[in-house]
Amino acid sequence: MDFFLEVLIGGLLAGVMYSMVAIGFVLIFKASGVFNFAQGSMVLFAALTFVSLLERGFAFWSAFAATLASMLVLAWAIERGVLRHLVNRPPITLFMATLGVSFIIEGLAQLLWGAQVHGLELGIKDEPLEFGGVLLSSFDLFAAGTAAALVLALSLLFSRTRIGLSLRAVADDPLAALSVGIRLQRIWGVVWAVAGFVSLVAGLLWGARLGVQFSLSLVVLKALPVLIIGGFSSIGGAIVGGLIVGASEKLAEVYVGPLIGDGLENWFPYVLALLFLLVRPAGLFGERAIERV
Amino acid sequence: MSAAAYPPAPVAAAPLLAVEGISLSFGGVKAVTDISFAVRSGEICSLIGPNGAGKSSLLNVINGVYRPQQGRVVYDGVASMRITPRRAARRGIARTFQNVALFKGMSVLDNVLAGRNLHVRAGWFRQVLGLRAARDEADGHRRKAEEILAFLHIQAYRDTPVGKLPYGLQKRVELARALAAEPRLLLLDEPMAGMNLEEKMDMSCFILDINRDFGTTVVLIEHDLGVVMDISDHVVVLDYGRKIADGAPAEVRDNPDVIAAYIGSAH
Repeated sequence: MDFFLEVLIGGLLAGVMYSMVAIGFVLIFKASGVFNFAQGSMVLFAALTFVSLLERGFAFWSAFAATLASMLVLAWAIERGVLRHLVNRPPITLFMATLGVSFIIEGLAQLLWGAQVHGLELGIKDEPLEFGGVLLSSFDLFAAGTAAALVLALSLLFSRTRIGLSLRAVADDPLAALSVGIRLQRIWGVVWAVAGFVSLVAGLLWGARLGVQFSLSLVVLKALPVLIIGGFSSIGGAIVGGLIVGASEKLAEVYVGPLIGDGLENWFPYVLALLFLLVRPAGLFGERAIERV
Repeated sequence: MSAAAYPPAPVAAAPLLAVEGISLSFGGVKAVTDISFAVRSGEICSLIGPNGAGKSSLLNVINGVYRPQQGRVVYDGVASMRITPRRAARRGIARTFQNVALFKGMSVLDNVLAGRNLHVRAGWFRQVLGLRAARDEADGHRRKAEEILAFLHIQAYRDTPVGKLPYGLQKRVELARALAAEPRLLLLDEPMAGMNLEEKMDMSCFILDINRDFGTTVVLIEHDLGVVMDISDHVVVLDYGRKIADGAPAEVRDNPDVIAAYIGSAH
């Protein structure tokens, strides 16, 4: 039983980190209907910039501030330079644009900081802690705590303030949003800035866990099943989806893996997402498209 | 909604809105050519004309969606060269669209609350913390929105996602959202398009009530001449992007140019 709990909690903690990455997608999707494929490379760019600055002798917080600033500039540049010109284009156009942007960012990161793998040490110990017979990693706890705080702050921001309502309005009908005096540019700016910030935090936590390398941008693809399960347009959905993915992949790995072979956790979330697509295509919390025929 | 909150507009005052020599073209195609007219404060002014006459384009110029190549719009005594929809909204111009532009996934109430966007005072930081003042303010906006829903008889649909409502009611929700901004000038682009007779009657009554109770100046585009002649104080007729008549409904109705534009001329 203790072992089951250990696996479950370990999975949930990893799940919170998936949620955090997924929220970056949800924000942009909600505000502009774009599935921002570049989110992964933004995470990579953030982690790489941060770690390179550390290696060049910056102190932790000054490296953090400098990276944050560069993420904000990057996010601003993507929004202003690419997506703003594509307003009202079909979703596939926007998607292809972000795909292109993601390659540019990865190339840029490589150009600036080189292609070697970096280790990232955040100064948080990774040692097992025991809670009532259950062993948990202190780093996992810290990462999950950070992600949870970020997730909570963001959901408050978007549920309590008029930014939240404006965000939904902008996503629904930009022209109508303009006519009631919503500042489109401001909203898009806020959303991209927040997405940049989320990428930074995700990049540090994932980078510390896996090492800062180019496959980091692929880890972010795990957000895809999270979003399919939780729903693309719901922050709550991203949280719950992340927890489901985290917990189920670890449990499947441990309990089903021995029966059908290892490596289960790499593809299990996608199978789960596929099942959701068949049964509940809008996800658990997504807004179902309303069409009058 | 109490009428006291909106003092009746002074009658026959200086024009609230003056359109002066507006010309607008899209890549060489002229949408409107040298159009001028004035809308007095407190009146209902209708823009009519055959399809493609440039009515919607003109409305889009007034609210800053399009920028004319020539001419200017004087609103409330101030001529602005560079109007944007947001600036127009800030100065008290609210509008509805020809093809209902609502936030379809959101409830009726949320749509109307979005219309109060410019009246929100509390900053986002205070809203996140849920401070007393911010909460009280939010309650105030909600009350106001409820009053508007009651005024337009759509309280029953408060929590329904707008996309699920029939077209006639969507038009009414859009009007509610525009009213939520407490506008001085209301621009309505074909508020009665696609409606049956009964719905048109209801909508006409609402427009007259808004005009009378709140003193809101209304500029509307409408194809149903019967309705136009009934509710308007002032009618402007456009044809092929030019103004062909401007005056009281009775004058306009007997104008030979208008008759020619509508029924075709004999010569």
